Amino acid sequence: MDKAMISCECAGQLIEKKQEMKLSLADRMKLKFHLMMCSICRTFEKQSKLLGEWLEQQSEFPSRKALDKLKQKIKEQLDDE
Amino acid sequence: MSEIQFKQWVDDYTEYLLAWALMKISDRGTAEDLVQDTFLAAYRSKDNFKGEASPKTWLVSILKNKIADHYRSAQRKKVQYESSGQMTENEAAFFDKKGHWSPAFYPTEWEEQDKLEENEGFQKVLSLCISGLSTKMAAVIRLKFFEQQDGEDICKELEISSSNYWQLAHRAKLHLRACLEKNWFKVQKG
Repeated sequence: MDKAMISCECAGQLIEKKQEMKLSLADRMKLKFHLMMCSICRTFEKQSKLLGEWLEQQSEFPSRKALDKLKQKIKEQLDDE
Repeated sequence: MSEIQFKQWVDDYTEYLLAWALMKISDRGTAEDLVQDTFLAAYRSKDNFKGEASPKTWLVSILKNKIADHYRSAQRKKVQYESSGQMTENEAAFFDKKGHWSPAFYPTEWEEQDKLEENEGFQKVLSLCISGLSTKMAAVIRLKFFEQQDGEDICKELEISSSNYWQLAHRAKLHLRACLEKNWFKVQKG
């Protein structure tokens, strides 16, 4: 039982990995088994996915507008040279 | 090189330089200032640019010096920066020795909230949480989520192993999760 059960820390890394790529069969089984047994990690998985979505939506960062403003500022400064 | 040509560089390379600066510097304002200084310095010495390297490479080399200068000159800032980096790097004890969650960091259920991505207050807290990450974690988050690069490319760019990459991504999420819980979800609950 102990050998089949990976730690929460290890499960967390697999949760992260799974959102980017396909896990190996062995890793999938280990994670699945862990999540079956561990409600804390189930909550973490949900939140980890949410975090990923929020972070991706920040991908406009720096925003087009902020970027244009910076370009304008630099050009104005060059004019003063 | 004409002024018009040089201004074209500003249009072409500002975004790249800013992204580059943000990998090394978590403070947005400072990063913008350094990009601005970079263009100014490049403009002043534009006659030195012989076209042997690409403009991009040349500008990045100037930016690198600006960043190094920034850390050298702002000694006081540097100390602050490093210590805040250490605080987060210093493995807040999310897990015990056996890798089980430490009770203090048990993820608790978050109350469902609509359209958080459009909520200005939430976005501010999220940015703040991101800026509190260690340099390496912030770099991973930027490349992985903002620029949506492949893990493999990120490893090359940051010169880290793939297991290190997963570990950093995971730890960054742990920090962000804890930070949001403390500074947003608990506050919302009142």
